[in-house]
Order: sequence, then C-alpha cells, then structure tokens
Amino acid sequence: MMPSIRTAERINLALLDKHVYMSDLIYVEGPLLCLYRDAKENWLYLWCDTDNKNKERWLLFPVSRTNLIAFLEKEKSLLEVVQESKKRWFLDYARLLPNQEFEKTTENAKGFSRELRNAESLEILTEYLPTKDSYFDETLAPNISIAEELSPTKYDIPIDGNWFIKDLDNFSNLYSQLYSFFYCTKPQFMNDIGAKVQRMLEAPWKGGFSRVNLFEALQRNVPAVHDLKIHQMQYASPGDITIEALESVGDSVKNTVIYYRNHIGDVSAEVKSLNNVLSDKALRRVDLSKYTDLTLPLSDEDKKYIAEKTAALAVALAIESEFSDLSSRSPNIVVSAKVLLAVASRIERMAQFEDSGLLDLERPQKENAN
Amino acid sequence: MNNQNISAVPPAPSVAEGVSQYVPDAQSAAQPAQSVPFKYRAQIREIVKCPDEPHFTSVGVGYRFAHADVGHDGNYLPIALIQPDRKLHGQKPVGECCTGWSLSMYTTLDALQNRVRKAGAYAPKFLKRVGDHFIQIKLTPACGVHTDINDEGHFDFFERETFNGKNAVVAHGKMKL
Repeated sequence: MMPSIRTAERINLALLDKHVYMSDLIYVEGPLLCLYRDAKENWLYLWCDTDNKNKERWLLFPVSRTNLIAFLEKEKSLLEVVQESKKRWFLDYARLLPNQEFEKTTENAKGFSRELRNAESLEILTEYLPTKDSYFDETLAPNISIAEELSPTKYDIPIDGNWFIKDLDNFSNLYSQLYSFFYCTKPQFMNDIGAKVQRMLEAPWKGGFSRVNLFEALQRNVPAVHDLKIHQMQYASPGDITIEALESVGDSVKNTVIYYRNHIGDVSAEVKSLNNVLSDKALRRVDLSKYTDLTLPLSDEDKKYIAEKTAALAVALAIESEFSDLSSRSPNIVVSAKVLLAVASRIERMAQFEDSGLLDLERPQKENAN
Repeated sequence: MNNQNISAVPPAPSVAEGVSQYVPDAQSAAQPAQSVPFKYRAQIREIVKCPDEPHFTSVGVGYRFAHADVGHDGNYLPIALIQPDRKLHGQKPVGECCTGWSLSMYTTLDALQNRVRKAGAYAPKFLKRVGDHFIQIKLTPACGVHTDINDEGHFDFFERETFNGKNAVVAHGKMKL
C-alpha cells in the first residue's frame, strides 16, 4: 500500500511546465533518479513507488548547485540532499488503462494523468527516504561521466566603454547562445547530450525561425548546474561581468571571438561562398531535415562543394572539433551548413561588441578566488 | 554496444532452499539460428543496427528479475511492451530504442542481487518495481543474441522468434538480500 498523502496540499501541475529532462543519474532497470531543470534550478526526480499496474510515485525536489556537485562527487548522500532541499513534491503518475473512465483533459487524452502534492514534511517521506549509504555510484549511471569538468568557476568577462541596458540584453542573449553551442559540442558530465542534439537537428529546419529554435534548444540542453549565472558586475569603465560558468566553455567563447577578429577576411569569404550556394540552389527555406547526404536532392558536385565550404568555414573559425561533433549528429551536410552559418553570425555579432569597445576580451584575466 | 555470443556465463547454482527448479525445453534449433528472425523484428526494423552483429556459438544462462508468480507475463516481456510510455536517453520513447526490445539479464545471481542492494539504497521500494524473485533462464545459440556483458554482469538479450522464455526457465526463487 502506498502511504496516504491524500491530505497533503495539492499543487498546480503547471509548475512542472518549465521542467526539462536532462539525464538519468541512477538507472537500474529503468530510471531511478533523474536530473531535470526549470528556468533556473536543478531538480531531482526520485522514483519512490508503484502499484505494479499503472501508477508510479516520484519525489521531486530542487537541488542547489553546491549540493548537486557534492552528490556527484560523493561528498553528500542522496539522503542528505533530500533532507536539505527547500521544497519537496510528490508526483503521482498514472497510465490510463483501456476502458478506464476519466475526465476529458488534454493530459488524459494523451493517455495519462498526474497529480502533484506537497511533501515538505519528512514524516510523510519516511518509507521513501534513501539510506545513509546513498552516495552517487557511477556504475549505475550509464549516461554520466564525472571525470569531465563538473564545477563551474567564477569567470570574468572584461568590459569597457559605454554600456546601455539594451547592450546588456543583446550581449547576454548572444553570450548564452554561444555558450550553449560550445557546451553541447564538448564532452560533458552528461554524455547523452549528443543524442539530444541529434534529435534537435532532425527537427524541421526552415529559415530564421529555425535558427532561433536551434539556440533555444541548445540552451535547454545545458543543465542548470552549468547554466550561466551572474556572480558580480563591476562597471567603472573598465570593469568585469563575473559569471559562474564552466571555464573551458567560457574560454572557447572568448578564444573563438578573438580568433574571428584576427581572421575576419577568411571567415567572411567562406560565409559568402556558403550563403551563395544555399541561395543559388534555393536551399535557404526548404526543410531537408529528413534527408541523408545520400538522398539529398542535389548533384554529387553540389554536395561536395557544400561539404568543402562548410569544412573551410569551420577551419576559418577554428572550431573544427565542435563542428565535427555537430556534423556527426546532423542528418545531412545542408543542415550542418545552416547551423554553422548561424553560429558564425553569432560570433560575428559578439565580435562587434569587441570592435565597439564594449568588450575587452584580450585583457589578461585577474585571479579569481573560487 | 556490440552483440556477442551467449558465453562466459557460469553454470546454474546448486539448488537452494526456496528455489524451484525446472527442466527447460530444448528450444530446438532444427534450423540454423541465423535464419530465425528476431521476435520483435517488425518493431526493431526502423532502429539502426538493432541488434548489432550477432553470433551464435555457445551456451549459457541468464538471470532476470521476476515476480513471485513464475508464469507472470512481465517476467518474459521487453520493457517496450510492459511500459511503452517510458522514455529513455533524452526522452526518446522506449519503443524507438534498441534496448527497449530486449530482455535485461545478468550473468550471475550475485550480480542481479548486487544490483538490488545498490538500487535499494536510493529507492527502498525498488523491488516493487522489478519483483522480489529471480528466474534463471537457459540460453542456447538458437535462443538469440546479446550485447556486451558490462562490468556489473549485465547484458541485453534479443530473442529469436522461436524462443519461449517460460519454457526456458531453469530455476525460480526469492532473492536473498
């Protein structure tokens, strides 16, 4: 028998609308502990119970960056993380059985129903609480590699010149788009990001709307633990925006923009060639995401030319390894080319901040006490 | 993961208290194993390299989580049939994943029970999910193929159409934890 939690306060399911699945942290004959994120926080979903027919109960709770990293590094047990969480909810999920009567809701039409209840009291949780030995075990986490960079560090972005609010807005959008691109194309502690990127690239790709979707989707793949968080802003011309970020990813953004500014002629030439061929062949707005390189409705010569120009652009931007990762997950060379052009345009726009003196990326980094 | 032969699995343990023993069917291999299609071939047709590069040369056994009722269908069905709405690997429906059409197995009873002990530390009611019993299944070359055995003794087993899990049970008993 599941314990009665019927008297616990019922919570609006809409609170889960922004929850996005990241990865399984513990997997034994199915997911037992899953990492999610909402707009800002990390959430853990812990499997608790089943009626062995169609119902499952999960415990949902937010976990701070510090506690998530402490759990993954085996410094804290899952029990401690649950106990220290500032809120806890029970999610009861039921698959609707054939012929089962149910209210006509959107969710029910999809074949399931959910109920969310407050589970703040540890008493109600007693029989579901992990043991004191519930430390992270990598052997139960096929999609997690804690050998990869895990802890975000304080990372300075040197700024200068006269900033307006709209500059800050444009800068933060661009920076987070490039950060998510580099994050998703490097090995990370969640080693199944690539599979998600692949599914994303297989989605229909048409015009500018797809570029916006691409970067939004890339940003959704960055777990909250590694999302950009402003630690401090110091502005006295010059100054710094200090963010919490993965150092290697922050360095990639910085180095790529610097490299671009030193090789702007090469990049512009490759961008122009690639844009010309996509326009000439009327490929800009057509959705080719369901085609493979073999089935693309283009001549072998055209395919070869696009492949060569795309590779040359990656070289000109010095992002060959990131592009190689991306193209290995892309359905075909045209999609790869469109993605690369979208990334190049973000790098170009970021370089304009440096050109106008708002950024000073080549200023030596000061030592941060992390 | 590459698939490989059913091999490197130890013989059945001696009969322990509370363990029922069965005489499995021969799972006759009248026709060459390679010519028998996979049981869920229609479902895995669209999945790339599923299962990948099978070979059939050896004989062994596999252990699975099971319910108290040895005849419970759930003991012998892949997860894609038991829980088709489950999502794997970045929310891909389980039916679109190769592993979803396999039977999860372990090379030894110890490996299986070790898994329970570990999982139970996070979710005390884990056994309600998978069953608190085990079945030991005889696997011949004609039965199917399996993936690499990982360091924890786990592998995915892909059944041939002629394989009948219920008839292949060697032993059924409650896990001792």
